[in-house]
Amino acid sequence: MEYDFPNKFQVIVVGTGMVESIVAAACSRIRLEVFHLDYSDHYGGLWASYNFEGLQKFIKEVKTNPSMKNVVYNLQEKWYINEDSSEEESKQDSEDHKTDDGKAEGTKKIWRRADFASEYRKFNIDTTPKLLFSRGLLVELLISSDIARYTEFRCVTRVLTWLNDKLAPVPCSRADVFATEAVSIVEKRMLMKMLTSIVGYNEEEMNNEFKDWNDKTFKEYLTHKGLTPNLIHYVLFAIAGGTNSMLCLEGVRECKKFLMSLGRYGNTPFLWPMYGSGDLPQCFCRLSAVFGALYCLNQPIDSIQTKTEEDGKTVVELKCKAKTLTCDHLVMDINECPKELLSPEPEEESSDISRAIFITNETIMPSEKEPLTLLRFPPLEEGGNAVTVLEVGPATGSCPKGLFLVYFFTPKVKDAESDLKPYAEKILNLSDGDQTETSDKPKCLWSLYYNVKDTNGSVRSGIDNVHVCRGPDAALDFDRAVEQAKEIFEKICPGKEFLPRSYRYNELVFEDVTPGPEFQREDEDADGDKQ
Amino acid sequence: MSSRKKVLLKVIILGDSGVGKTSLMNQFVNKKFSNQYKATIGADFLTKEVIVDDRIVTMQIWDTAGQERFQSLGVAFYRGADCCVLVFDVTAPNTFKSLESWRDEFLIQASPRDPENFPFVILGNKVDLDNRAVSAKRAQQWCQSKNDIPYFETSAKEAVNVELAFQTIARNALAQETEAELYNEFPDQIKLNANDNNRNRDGDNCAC
Repeated sequence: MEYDFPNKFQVIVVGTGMVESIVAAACSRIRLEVFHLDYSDHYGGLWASYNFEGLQKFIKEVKTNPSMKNVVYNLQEKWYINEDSSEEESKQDSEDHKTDDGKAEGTKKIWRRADFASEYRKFNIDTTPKLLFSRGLLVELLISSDIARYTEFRCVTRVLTWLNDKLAPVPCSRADVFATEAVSIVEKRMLMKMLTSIVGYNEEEMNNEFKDWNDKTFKEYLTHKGLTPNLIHYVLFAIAGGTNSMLCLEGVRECKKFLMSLGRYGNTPFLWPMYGSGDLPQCFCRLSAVFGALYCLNQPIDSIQTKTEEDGKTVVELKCKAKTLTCDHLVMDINECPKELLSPEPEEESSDISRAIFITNETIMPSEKEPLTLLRFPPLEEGGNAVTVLEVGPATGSCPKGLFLVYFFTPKVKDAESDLKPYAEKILNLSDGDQTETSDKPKCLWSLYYNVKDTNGSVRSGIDNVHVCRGPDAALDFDRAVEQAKEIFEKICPGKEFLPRSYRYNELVFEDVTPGPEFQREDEDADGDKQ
Repeated sequence: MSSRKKVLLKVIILGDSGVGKTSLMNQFVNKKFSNQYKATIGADFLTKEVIVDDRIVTMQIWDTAGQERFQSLGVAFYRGADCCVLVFDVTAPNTFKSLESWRDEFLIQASPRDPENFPFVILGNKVDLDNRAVSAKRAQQWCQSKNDIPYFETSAKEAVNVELAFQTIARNALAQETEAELYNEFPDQIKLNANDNNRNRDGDNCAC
């Protein structure tokens, strides 16, 4: 294959994870010359979604590629379905199911491993599942940049918690609070008062109100406010996603974020991207390409070095496939970055992430319409970490009909399996037993445990024009990725606008045309969609 | 709402670099042609309303934005396509040979529900040029062998057959979309836009 492209760029971006892709889009958008590449044959890096076959390849690659070993480790893949036997009748059986598209009510499909293989394309399994807060940084960015036009979302339909040893819905909207029977009327008023006051605080008021609570926990604050244990549970664990040791101000901020995002798109504050989070980096890459960035997958880098040119300017030089490329700024996935460029000490301490993916044959809690669930587990043991669970079904384009994907994640303590299995067992049937056996929990058919490094590091001082992007973090949303992309963009082009709304629809602009006014800023709230 | 639902058709255009994908779109939507090879910005998607059997439908035609150049189109690009237009340059036999792999690539990435009957349309572009190297007969034969894909010979530059080809694309995409609708049990995806009133939607919140 011939690669005929220029060898000088203003910005080269290596890796197509979330942060890299946002930076690429932002740079390309203001018309910097951007070359964006990835060693892999797909977009997303550690933020990618895979179909079932692709996931198998990913597992294999992680296990065999030495440079991946420290990044993704402790992989444990397990089937809970026996190896397909030669029973022809079961094959016949599944053919029947295929023709009626699984619509036979009442009878649950018996899944065989071969069904996973034949329907592999219907899976979009996230390696880094995350939600978007409806008024979070990413949603605002997608809207203000108009990158939202490339993708669609679904609302999370419910927030659950683990209370008194069973799953319980969390009343999170005003309507929910008043409809729920789980709390008394007095508690309802107490809760509403508390939540309303949190939403009302601006930054200054917040600092004022909580100045005596700086070193105290959120739980102490909630107790001080007279909330009952049930309410404390809802607010602390389900709404703030915290633990007993969560600091007060942090808890208040998390609550505020949750509450502020209510009522925009659905009954909960959260959105899930159709086909999974792995599509999001691709949306940014598309905008970047539309504005002229050059895209090249399957492009490994052989070496990176900095070089001082005749005019005294320092450039970064990359060698790949017998080609030498230079750029003013290199933006790079930290896991791709050669050790020599990185400081030996990470910027701050961080814990790795324990993750698990389960494929089940029904939802963790039945509901009228197909649910999309966020479940926040309080730590099962005192001093442990909270565990986040996301359950997505076929309506999200994540899996074939009749299945659900259940994602678990938490900061790593021991290893992914030890950290998460005790939680998974609470809500899933992890036995090897028959799929037809009656159980009050969904039957797990397949699972994968893995740990991911929480990368945190900085480039050695003295190299101002290399910018490393962290890998995925353990947070529920994408805020850190957006913040980081902004910071990097700010370093590359200080003072420039970050991903302004793009352009006039239905017009192509050619080089031979004198560029007209770049773009006319509209009133953000009033415009909506251009017709 | 008494009238029928507004229909939005996603059409994607594939083919080797330089065959005239962007030019065809631009000719169809804006009735313009530029000799410049590459649009600096805007090779994104273009939309146009067309009438098919008395129904107004909005075609949203997605360009590759140059990401096809080094085989770097992501799977997100292919999602939910209602029709796939494959373009080659009648003066460049290699671009004709690539059709097969573009078709395969589409079927793998988009994984349509019914791959056998998914609507493709083939355009042999640049018929205005003298140095033709792929005969109409050869192209037609290939199209016939692929479940009778409709074939048009076009010139984006001189607006030959462009309108006609896109009419067929719209018609076939609509047939596909109507069928897909029957199987779509989960119609309430959310499109984000600055307008927050997105809760009572009936599937026509296209932000374009």
